[in-house]
Amino acid sequence: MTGDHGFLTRRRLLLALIGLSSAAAALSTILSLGGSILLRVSTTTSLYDTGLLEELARLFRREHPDIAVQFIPVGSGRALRLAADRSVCAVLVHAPNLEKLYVERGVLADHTIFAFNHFVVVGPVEDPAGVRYAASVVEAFRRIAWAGERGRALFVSRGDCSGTYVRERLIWRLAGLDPRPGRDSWYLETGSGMASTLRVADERRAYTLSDIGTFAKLYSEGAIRSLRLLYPHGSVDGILYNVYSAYLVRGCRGEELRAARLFLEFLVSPKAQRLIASFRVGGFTLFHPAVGSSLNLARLWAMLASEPTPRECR
Amino acid sequence: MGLVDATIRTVIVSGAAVLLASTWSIPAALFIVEGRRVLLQRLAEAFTGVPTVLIGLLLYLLLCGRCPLSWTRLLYTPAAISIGEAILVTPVYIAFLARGLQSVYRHVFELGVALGADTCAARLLALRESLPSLASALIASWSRAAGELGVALLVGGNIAGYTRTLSTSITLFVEMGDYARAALYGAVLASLLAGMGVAAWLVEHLASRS
Repeated sequence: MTGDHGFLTRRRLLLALIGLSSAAAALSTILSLGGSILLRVSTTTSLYDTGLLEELARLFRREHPDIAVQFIPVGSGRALRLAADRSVCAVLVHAPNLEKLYVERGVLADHTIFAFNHFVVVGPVEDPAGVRYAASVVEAFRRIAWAGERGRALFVSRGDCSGTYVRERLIWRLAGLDPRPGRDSWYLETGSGMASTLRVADERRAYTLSDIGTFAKLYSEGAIRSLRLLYPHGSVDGILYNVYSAYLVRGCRGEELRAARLFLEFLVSPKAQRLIASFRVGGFTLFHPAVGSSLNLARLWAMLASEPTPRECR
Repeated sequence: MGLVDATIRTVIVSGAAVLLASTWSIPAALFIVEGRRVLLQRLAEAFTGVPTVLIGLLLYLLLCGRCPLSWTRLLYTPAAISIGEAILVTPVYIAFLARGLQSVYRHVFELGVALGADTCAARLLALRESLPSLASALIASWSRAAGELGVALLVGGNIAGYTRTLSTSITLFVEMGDYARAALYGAVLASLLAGMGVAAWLVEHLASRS
């Protein structure tokens, strides 16, 4: 190879590199959201992971092309923490008793209930604790603890101050029990999200509390095999209702506040409510629209909000 | 679409981070090598493993809505990730570069100064002889930036199409229970790192031939 040839190759390489990087820069400009109003919304993962929020955002974007909704998917506990830091302008959460604390602290305003579903107790198909024979969710939890203390069952907890974890601790309290990881060998904590926790429960043939959305999604995809929905089979206990609320964050101002108000109005508009009702994953309906529901969701929310929160999550 | 988008973003954001880190890491490494400041070098080495979430958290506590630097409005932007990653890779950058410059660079530099060249010229000459060491430092730093998670999650927010990188995508898919897609994105990230290593080798190879 002559020196000339080598130089040419190097120059070509350099040109290719420059070309590639400028193409990448151009692409990133196209992909970025220049010119529009950015609306930051922290949201619970159970809403985000199912894909519902991206569809809602797409519909919203069609009506308001000048607003780009940016979701920051975290657990309800952290979503509220981001609101308290004024890092976001709106939140979507499902932990009424935690929400109430932040409303009282003056962090949140304009409570808007826009969807609901319910929590389910899932466990191994052989059901060693007999949860499928329970008459209430409190009895189901007592059965798990009873079998657990005799070494016949395991329970996996999120342990992460998410809406689901807060609800799980509430049910234990109503059952008159206080299982702790480390002390109670049948009670495990994953410290991670719902999907990971369901996978752990599946592997360990353990029980856990899940929102029906995440369970139905993983179950229909075949990602979890040994777990079954064991409770409830018929009517749903009031304590199992999972209410999704949107709030504005106090301290958010200007164009972003205007965008946030529009987004909250949109969530309870007929279009968005229809989308929530028709949203399906693997043939399962995951969420019910809040508007026009026969349930008194505001009262249900108030009932759930009046319950105490775990100390570590306050 | 998400994969291409996240890959391009990962390259740009981490590339910008390494360029930014270069502006202070190269002078710092020269300062260490020329003055034989071994304690500083050991400190840089000790901090190479600093947890990414710790850097992310510290930066978040500066940038959040009611934090001291909220007026910069950098939180949840790609630029915030680049800045955080630049801080994150600084110890790796300095440690690699200082280690690499210890032999050839110091030798050429000290020789140049002894022969009466001015410090600046000696420095440039010595640096040109040490390009492979600079390449090692760049690759190692870039790899740490491209693969990190904590900074991108905390100050990037993992916003789809805006601050979602390959590593935050992997986390999200694991979180969603979609292990297959998580593994696919992981494979792309690993290929990207390998590709950068091969590209660096190629450049060095061609440069040494001419």
